[in-house]
Amino acid sequence: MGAYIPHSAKDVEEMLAVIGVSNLDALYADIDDELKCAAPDLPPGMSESEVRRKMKELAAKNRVYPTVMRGAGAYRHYIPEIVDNVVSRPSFLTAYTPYQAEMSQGVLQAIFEYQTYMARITGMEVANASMYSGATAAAEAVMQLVRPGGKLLTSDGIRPDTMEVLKTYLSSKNIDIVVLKTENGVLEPETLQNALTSDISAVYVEQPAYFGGILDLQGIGAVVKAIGAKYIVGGNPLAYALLPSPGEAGADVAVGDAQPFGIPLSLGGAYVGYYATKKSLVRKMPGRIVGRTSDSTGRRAFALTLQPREQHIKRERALSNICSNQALQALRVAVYLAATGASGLEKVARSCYLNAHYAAERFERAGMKRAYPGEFFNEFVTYTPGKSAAIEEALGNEGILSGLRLDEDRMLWCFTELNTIDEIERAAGAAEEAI
Amino acid sequence: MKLIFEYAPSKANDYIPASGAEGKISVPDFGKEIKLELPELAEVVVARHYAALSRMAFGVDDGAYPLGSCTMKYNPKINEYAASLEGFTDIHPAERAKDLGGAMELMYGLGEALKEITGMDGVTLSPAAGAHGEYTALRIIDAYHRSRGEQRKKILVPDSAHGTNPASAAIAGFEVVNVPSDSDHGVDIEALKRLADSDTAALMLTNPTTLGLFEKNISVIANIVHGAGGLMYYDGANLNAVMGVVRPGDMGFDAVHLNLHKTFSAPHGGGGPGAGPVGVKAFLKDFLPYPVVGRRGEEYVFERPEKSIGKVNAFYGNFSVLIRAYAYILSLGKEGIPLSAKTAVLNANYLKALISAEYPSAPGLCMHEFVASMENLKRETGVTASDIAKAMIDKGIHPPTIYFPLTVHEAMMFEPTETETKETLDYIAGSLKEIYAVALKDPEAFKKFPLTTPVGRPDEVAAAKDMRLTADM
Amino acid sequence: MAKFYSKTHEWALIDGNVAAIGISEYAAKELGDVVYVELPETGQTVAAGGELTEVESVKAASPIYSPVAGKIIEVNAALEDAPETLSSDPENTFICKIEMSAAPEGLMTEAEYLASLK
Repeated sequence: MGAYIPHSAKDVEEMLAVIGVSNLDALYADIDDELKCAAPDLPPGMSESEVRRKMKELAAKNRVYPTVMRGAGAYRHYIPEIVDNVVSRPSFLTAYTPYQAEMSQGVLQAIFEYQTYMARITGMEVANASMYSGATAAAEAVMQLVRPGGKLLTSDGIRPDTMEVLKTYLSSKNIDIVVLKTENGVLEPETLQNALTSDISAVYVEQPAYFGGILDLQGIGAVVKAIGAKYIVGGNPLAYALLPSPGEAGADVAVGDAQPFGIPLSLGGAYVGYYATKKSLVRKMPGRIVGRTSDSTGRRAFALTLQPREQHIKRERALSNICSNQALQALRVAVYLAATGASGLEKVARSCYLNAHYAAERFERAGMKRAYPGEFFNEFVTYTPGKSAAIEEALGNEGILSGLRLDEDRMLWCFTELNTIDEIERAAGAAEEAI
Repeated sequence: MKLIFEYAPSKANDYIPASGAEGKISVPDFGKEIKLELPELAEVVVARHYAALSRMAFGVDDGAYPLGSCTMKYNPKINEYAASLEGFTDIHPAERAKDLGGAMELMYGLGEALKEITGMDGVTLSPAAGAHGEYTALRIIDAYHRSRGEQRKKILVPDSAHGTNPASAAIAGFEVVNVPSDSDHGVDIEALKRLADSDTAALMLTNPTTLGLFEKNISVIANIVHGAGGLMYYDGANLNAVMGVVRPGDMGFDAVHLNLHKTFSAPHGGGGPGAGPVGVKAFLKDFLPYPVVGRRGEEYVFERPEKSIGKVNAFYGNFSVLIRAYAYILSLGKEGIPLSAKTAVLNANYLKALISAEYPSAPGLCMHEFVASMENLKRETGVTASDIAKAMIDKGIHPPTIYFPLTVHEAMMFEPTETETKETLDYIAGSLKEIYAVALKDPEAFKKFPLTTPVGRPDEVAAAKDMRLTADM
Repeated sequence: MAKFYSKTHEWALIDGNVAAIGISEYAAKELGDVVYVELPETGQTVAAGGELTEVESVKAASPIYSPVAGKIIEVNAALEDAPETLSSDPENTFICKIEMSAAPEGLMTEAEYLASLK
């Protein structure tokens, strides 16, 4: 029970004497005694070795699947060892927000580089220092671009998590959400064209769609632009290694989770949301931003900039209440991208595509037909009437986390570079038996 | 120091094998026209780049960090070990509950401990940060009033509050009404009486206040707000002063957010990720965002409260941060929680006593932090709080929070935390006295500080005007 | 032409029924280096004392209030690229011009304004 208090009894005595009080409790003279509580009803403090044992026990009660074929917003990819190595450096790990620029150039430059990476991948001009998650980044984007009383148009093809978070946030801003129905989650430009009315202020789509299908981002963009609405594109940034980026499609804002870039599954958090936009909309971009400048001797220097948009200056008139970023997760993303480079990232994206398509074909032969036609990236839905639970169970027995049960008939599968042909064969075999 | 984009191209390491499906399936052309422009670098280049950047960063492990309002306590290494366990890092958020027994037990246990420490009856671990927690709690408060057929539009916020309080209230759809401070920097009771009315949804309050003083009138304040039908919201930013000593629930608060990255030792990571759980009294439990972890017999379950405000984030919150906070609470336990608070208050008062002649703050005892005003020094010498801060950097000390709270001129807000040794506190005090002496003798010298950092003061005007926010291609 | 000042440190240079609006030397000093001026939109109408626009310095965003009521007929687009002129030459840099819908009220002459600063 060290509790990380560094003082000896003698230290405490000397310090109390300097202050001029007789004991620790006397420091709380301003608080009425009847308000004070007894020591909390918690177990006694543990030594480090006991904490270690307890945490190991808890971790062991979770099931770690050697093989994962589930995504739906959380993706298992290979994380180069250097990523963990860099983020465990105490000067990064235990630093505060870089308000004191001179002694925080390392953190500031790392964020500046992260901003550059995300801007390049999304094809946008600028990116911020990161957001809590893709879902909250989407909600923030809509709040910036749609005035209270306005309308957002989206489709049922976005992640249910994003939809729920949008509903929560937008209801307090009096912004209506119009949800277009789609056959397979893939919003077609024609469908959008027929539904777009002049009272729609912004359109939000996700690439790929929740069911894995690939959207015609450029086609959609042209339709959105034609009525002068803002175009917000969410999505998995890994897909942009193969697909046209939001910037190529004319997006005004690109958001999403950068978790596929070096962040472990970790039960869904902490992840990191990215937010990228056009230079003309930078003052409508919430969150922290690092800018490049110089010091008085002309040396390159970095500093937090455009701070008057933020809560600590503008208070109730701020763009957003956000007052942090997910800096350490953004650092993971930057290190991941620095290590893989463009060629490595393309290889990962390509492997995801290939493994997923191999699996789709193999599954089809095993009696698991794809539920929806159309091109996909690394996720797809199978249709096996009444068999979802049985398939999940059968694969579970093989140490495979199956696709996600959407209902009793449909499952959403995800394949990454970590899935081997052998795993796919075993999964197909086990599923075939279960059907 | 080069940017990662400025090294000569080298060959990136191979991290994955080619797909076994290569050659069996072809990847179509998706019409991507703009190729990815990311540098190709050998791993050694990447490793050295980030090693160099980390030497230009300053964490709690690098030196004293008396940054007011931020609770920069030591981040125990065992927490990092716990968070790195495969059983935590490699679990998918969409696994079935039966596969997640340990994670759910941890989240449930953490929630129970936080309820006990705050005197609350229900908790959500979803919010990713303090401001996110504020937003969540305000939506709960709004939903509660609406469930009673009331639409209360106003949130009362003291003028000394953190900027996130009014910003969160505005984002949550409320109108912000500022409550002035009285001469003791507490809430002006007469003004509060005038402002609290049938349109008041809640009062947001930090206690100890941002001045580092315990709000003595807290019971009176709670009565006024409750009397008007409003709720009391506790901003947990300063809980480190009082955890295990006095509970927000007993002070009359109905909802509270905590900062696990402050009070519960999760590292700040250069600005996140944190976690901002929200605790509520029983009558607000039904409004919590989903999912919450419940317990039925020996089983843990994910639940959706009956009148839930919905989701505030994907999945279950910043789980990797929750692990660290739980490990910390296990370490401290029953005795360690109040002892940490008391030691934090001891350290703040000790430092305050040592420097009060040169760095004047409110007389009397403080809580875990205190605010000095450098107004007199500025008037006499022209040396500002910011100048002192820059001089502290050269002493290897992270400066305190400056220019906050807004109600104190030339404010310097010191929060040493409980984990600093007496030796370190003595060093901080000695350094501050030296700096003060220089200010009196040679105020011009401050224009050049800091001298020991890789760069001098950045030109913030140019940064804001030029808006160079990404590296050139 | 006559120049008048408001209590909130804006000036109005009045020529017939058109007023050019700017900020005073004193306001410019208080603001510090202006890095961005959010220009109002032409065609927009404002009330006297109503918020016209906002200017940003590095550490603050400050509202600019209209000393007169009327319709905005011209904005100083040069401020988009050179916001710093609002700091370096505030008394000769207008933000916008307003076609007044009512005679100005409650404004001070330069002498009165300078006296009010003391």
